[in-house]
Amino acid sequence: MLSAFLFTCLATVLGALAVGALLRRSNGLRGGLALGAVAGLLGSLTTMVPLKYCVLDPENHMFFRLSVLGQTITVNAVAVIGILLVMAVTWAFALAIDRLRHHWPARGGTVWQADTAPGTFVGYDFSPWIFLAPTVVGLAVFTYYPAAQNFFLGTQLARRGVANTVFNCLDNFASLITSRLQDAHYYILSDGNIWHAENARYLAVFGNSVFFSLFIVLVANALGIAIALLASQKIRGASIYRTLMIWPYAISGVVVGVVFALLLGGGGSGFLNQTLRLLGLQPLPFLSDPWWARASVVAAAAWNKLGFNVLIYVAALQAVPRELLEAASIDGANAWKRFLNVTIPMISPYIFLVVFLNLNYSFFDLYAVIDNLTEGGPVNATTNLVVDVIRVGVESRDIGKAAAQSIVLFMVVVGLTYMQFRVMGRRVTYGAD
Amino acid sequence: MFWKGQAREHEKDPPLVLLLLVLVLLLPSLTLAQDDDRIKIRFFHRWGNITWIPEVLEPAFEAAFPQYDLELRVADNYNNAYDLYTLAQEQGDPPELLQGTSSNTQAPRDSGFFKPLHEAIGDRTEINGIPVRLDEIVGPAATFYQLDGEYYELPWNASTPVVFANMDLLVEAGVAEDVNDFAAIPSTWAEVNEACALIADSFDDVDCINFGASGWYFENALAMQGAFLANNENGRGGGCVTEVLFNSQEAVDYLAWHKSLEDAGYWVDYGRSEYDITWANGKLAMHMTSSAAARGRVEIGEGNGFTVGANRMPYNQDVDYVGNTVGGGMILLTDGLEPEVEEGALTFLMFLLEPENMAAWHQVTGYVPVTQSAFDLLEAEGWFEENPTFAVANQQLAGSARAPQTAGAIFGSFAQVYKMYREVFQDILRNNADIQESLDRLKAEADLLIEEYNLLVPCDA
Amino acid sequence: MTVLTRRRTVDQPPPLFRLFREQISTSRWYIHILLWIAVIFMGLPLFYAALVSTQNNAQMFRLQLTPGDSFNFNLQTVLDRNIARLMLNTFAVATMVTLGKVVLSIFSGMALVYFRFPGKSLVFGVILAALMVPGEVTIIALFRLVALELGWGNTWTALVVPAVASPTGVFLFRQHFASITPELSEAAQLDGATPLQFLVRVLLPLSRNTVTALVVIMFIGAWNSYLWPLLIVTNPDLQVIQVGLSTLDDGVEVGRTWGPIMLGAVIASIPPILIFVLMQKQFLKGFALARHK
Repeated sequence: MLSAFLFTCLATVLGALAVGALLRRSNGLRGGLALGAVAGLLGSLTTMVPLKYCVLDPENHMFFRLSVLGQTITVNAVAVIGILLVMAVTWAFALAIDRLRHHWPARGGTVWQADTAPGTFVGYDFSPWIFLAPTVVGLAVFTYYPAAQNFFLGTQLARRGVANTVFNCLDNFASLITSRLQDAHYYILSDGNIWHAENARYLAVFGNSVFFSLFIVLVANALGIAIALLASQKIRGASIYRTLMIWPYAISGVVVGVVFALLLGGGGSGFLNQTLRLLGLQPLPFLSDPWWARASVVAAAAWNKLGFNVLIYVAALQAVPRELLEAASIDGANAWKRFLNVTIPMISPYIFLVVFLNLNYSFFDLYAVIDNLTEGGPVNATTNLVVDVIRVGVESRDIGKAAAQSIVLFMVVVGLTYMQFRVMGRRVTYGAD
Repeated sequence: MFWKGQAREHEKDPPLVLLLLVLVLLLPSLTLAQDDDRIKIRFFHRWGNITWIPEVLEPAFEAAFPQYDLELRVADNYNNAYDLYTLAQEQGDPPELLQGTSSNTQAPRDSGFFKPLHEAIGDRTEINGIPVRLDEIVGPAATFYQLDGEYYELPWNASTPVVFANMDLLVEAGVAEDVNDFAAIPSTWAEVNEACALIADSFDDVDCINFGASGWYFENALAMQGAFLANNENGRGGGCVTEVLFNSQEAVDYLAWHKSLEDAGYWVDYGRSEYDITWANGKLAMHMTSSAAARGRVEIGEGNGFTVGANRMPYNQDVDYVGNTVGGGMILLTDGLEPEVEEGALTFLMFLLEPENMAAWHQVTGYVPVTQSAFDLLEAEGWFEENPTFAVANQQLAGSARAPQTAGAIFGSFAQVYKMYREVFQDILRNNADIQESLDRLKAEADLLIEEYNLLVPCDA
Repeated sequence: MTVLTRRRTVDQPPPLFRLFREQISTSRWYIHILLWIAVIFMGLPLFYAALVSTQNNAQMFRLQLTPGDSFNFNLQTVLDRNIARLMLNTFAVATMVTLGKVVLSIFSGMALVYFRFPGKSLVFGVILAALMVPGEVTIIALFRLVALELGWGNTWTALVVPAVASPTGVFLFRQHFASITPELSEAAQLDGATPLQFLVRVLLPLSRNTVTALVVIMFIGAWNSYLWPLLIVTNPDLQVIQVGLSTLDDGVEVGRTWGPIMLGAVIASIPPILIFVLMQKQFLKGFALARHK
């Protein structure tokens, strides 16, 4: 009880200092401190009360070791996550209060009062609510409520098929940074490693997701632009070629998975390996070697997305004004220079769009491909974030840990969306997919 | 320009939405089912590709018992079947019968979804005129699904690991004298290494042996050496399982043998189910797998012109052989059924144990005929003499002790632990992880899982 | 209605479809060859799958490149596994989901553009923020909600209802309606039209491309959905094709039979490919890429 009180006081004071310093320009010194104190108080109460201040209990520990520049320390993951959580929520409160303080009196009217845009129907007060109700209720029940439920489940030891659940503080989250045996060890500039992690299983899964995303985006876009350059030429039958190339977009992940299993099937005798044999080459372990298996997933997914990318890039390329290219060639630019200095900048909004669509796809929609191609193997080499959520939550029935993983997934979306707004918010918006 | 285009479309606007609406309205007419006053028995199983079940078994049962309507439902693997069954339970409309797996026995018992078979049967000696043949079930197939001598589930598709061999390759390499000399297929760890050395000398492009990363072989390797998988005699010695014994000397020995095969290039990992192609192409000499694969192995051999032999799972020649365990699956009876429905479900279970049905099941797949009467029937027909490949599994189980070591471990997180084993196994073979250290770690992690499970579902043994 | 003029045409990019006009050819044979290589590269996986769908395992294992003799057997196998039912189910579910999404999105988009009400930007924000939450993030909790709390498991309700509220669709229609001149609705009001009359008589005919684009995207998405039906539907009579397809591939222990799997894969791919290829032009027209400052 006393420690809880002290923790809340400390959070309030530190919140006041940190937020006060960061937001002093818009709030002044005193205003910033007050705002920070309120945010710190709210931030610590809204997180720690539901958690029953369990992170303060020394019984709740889950250690990992961290070596930085040769110095090794033992860190309690539960405490680290608890503190990060309080900091993040405090900062969110601070930003929200800051925004309300500065914008509410001046433009707050637009939030609650009707706007006066031209063309709106007059005299229908209830109609818009009736029109909106199904969508809003649907999203509230099937998107927002389960999203919130994840936060509750993430703090429970819960098992599918067992009604009973047991509160287990932040253990589900902590076990993502360390192992159940608390023997994860991170090396940063230590023991001859720039970066190295031992016994950090979830980190490897995260790494797989990042690997897939980077290479799918790279392959699907490089090939997409290359093929689109060809397909946008003025030639006879261009639309037929286009049609023959874009259809893989419509194919499901399951079909992609089983078809590539047929093509790449390891053991030396899938279609590709038989072909290699005929050419007098050694067969390759497409699905049984970790790195080949990852490459196989990338190939399958990139193939699936390529059609869509070609479609968009052809449209983008045809929108590049001919005069610009002609002007560049009069200035003596060769084809490659024209491509680099004229075409790429002109189609860059479309590149950003396609890259982000592909990123979203490769982070979240690969389950069907992986499940039917490699089943996440060998040795989890192709298990990505979503596959692991299903593996843990459905196959192993460990609902609590799966919920904690879902929240990590959610943080990835928030990160991607933030990047998206930063990079292309002002340049292009898209309305589909 | 823009506006013109839109206006043109306005004129020829086909009501796409209306079209869709009509289609939706038409659809319910397709899903109307016919009425039927027979008692429905739904059986959730995982053998969608064994056509014998819907084409022979189902009509035979319905002909013998016209009052019942057997409805088959299929999942693509045991885990899925149990997941889907759980979902059906959560909605209050579960199928009457579920096919479960030997690697997940205790969690279903803890779930409260199922009625122990012995309770449903009571002391009856026949159900609907079919004799109860539970006491005819032989060997580890009997003990595996019993607790304190009583059946909780019905053993149906029981199998045991055996080695299938491409006899033509063995003869060519000098391992066997002729293609019918199945006894020459190596049956101890040392013999496997010797045979593989001969095969490696004789061929450039033939792999010696393959078997999967399954925990099942590990489980069998421990049982064969008389070691327990978990403490308190696999949870059958009067106390709950609180830890696994994965890091025993027997476990290390087995993995060291497996590693020696891998190091020498004798054992090759094909990833997911690709052994089929290599086997079919005659490039794989031996394949250790479930005896249930007998039908598939033999047919591929016949189709590609080589003889398929079989022999027991290789054992450790330095330790006294105790016995193998069964794998495959069993059938669970849903609890809380209406009496006449439960009667129908029990009738079907007993129907499966009838000698001719059990024998046919064996012939179609290779699963062990679990009852003595089915075995006798097959023997009288001369089946085993004509098909020696199918005889091995029975001999192996007949020679296995009825002991807690061969009866399987009793703890609810067994299936999860099995999966963890698979990862560690790959780590040892692929990344040359130290065997003892890896198993120590696996044991520690598995023990935490058991602790967590017991926290949610207290064990009351 | 009277003569209408569009505002802000200067800011609009040229609609994408105009860029796809057939262009006069100059014959450059090497481009044709490169394009054919690309076409073959793209087509090979499904083409080979189609080939294997006529073969038995033995023919496939020896890399036979001519059609095999097992098409009838493979067809019988997939028919035995109820592929017709699975296709019909998928068609029904995908149609209902698509229809629901389009209708709800049109209504929501309309509410957000053609009505004044307090809290409009907040509501739009709430809808838009849901774009950030892909189904995979909530799937564990959603499963508990739908299966345990609502008891909808094993029904089409579970496949359709959670899917019909579509932030993407709302956003698309809101942008589309906002780009239509407000003078249209003012004229409609002067003529005494109710919002619904305006929707049916004016807005829908103007939205054909947007509707088509959404139908294509949503139908293909719904047709191809796998994870959710895999988790929530157990009754084979109600199951959808993608899950059924992966059930065909069940023989790890006794060996896979590739022919039927590939035949199923080809059959399952025909409807979405047809829709996508046939509607690619409308799809692009409605796929509103708008640059703005």
